[in-house]
Amino acid sequence: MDADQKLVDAALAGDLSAFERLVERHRDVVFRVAARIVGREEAEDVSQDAFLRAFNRLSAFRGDAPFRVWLLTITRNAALNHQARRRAEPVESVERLMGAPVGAEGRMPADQLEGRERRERLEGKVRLLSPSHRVVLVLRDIEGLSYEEIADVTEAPLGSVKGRLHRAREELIEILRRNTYDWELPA
Amino acid sequence: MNDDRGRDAATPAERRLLGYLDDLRADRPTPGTGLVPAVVRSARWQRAVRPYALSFGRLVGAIGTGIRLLAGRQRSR
Repeated sequence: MDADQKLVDAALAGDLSAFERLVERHRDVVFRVAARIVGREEAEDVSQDAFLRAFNRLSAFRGDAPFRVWLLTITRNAALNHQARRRAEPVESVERLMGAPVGAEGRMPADQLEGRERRERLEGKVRLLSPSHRVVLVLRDIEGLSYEEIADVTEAPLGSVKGRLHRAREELIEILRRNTYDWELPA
Repeated sequence: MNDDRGRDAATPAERRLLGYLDDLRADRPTPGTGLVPAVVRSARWQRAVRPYALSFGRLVGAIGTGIRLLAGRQRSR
C-alpha cells in the first residue's frame, strides 16, 4: 500500500491530520495545474475548492489510479467549472494576453524581467486555448504526465488525448504566430 | 511523471513550441502558505456540520415526499 493510500484510509477513519498531510504532499501540483488553467490570481481558490471536493468524496477513491491522478481529475473539473462560472474577462486582461506590454513592478534585472514577461505572455496565450485543449497541453507539455495518466484525468480515451494534444499544439502555434515577437523569441 | 515529450513532437514547429513551453515547465509557481490551513479549517468545519446537513436534507426530502403523497391523494378524490 502506498503512502497516499495509507493517508486516505486514515483520513476516512477520521484523522484530519492525515488529510492535512495529503494536502501538503499534493498542493504544489494542484496549484500549478490550476494556475495554468485559470491563471495564478485565481489558482488558490480553485486549489482550495479541489481539495475540499476531494475531502468530501474521499470514500469514492478506489485506488485504481494513483491518488495524484484522481486529485488532478477533481482539480481539472474544479478549474473548468470555475471558468465556466466566471464572467467575461476584463478588456484590459484580453489586451494584455494579446500582446500589450506588461508593466514591471519594482526593480528587477533586465534579463529576469524579460524572462518573466515572456513567461507571462506565454501563460496568457496558453489560456487562450479552448478548455479541452488547454487541459491536455498543460498536463502533457508542461506537467509531463503520461498519455495514460492524462486519459484518466480527462476521462477520455487514449486516442482522443493524442488527437487533442496535436490540435492543442497546432492551435497554440497559430496563436503565437500571430505575433512575430512571440514566435521568434530570443533563444 | 515521465518526460518523453520530445519523442511525440511531430513537426519542427511542434519542437520549437516545446522549447518555448520548457520556459513554463521550469517556472514552478507555488501556493501561498495559507492554502493548507485554509483547506484544513474548511474541512474541519464541513465535517462538523455534515451530519446536521444530511439530517436536514433527509427531513426536507421526507416533507417533500409527504406533501406529494397528500397532493396526489387529494387529486385522486
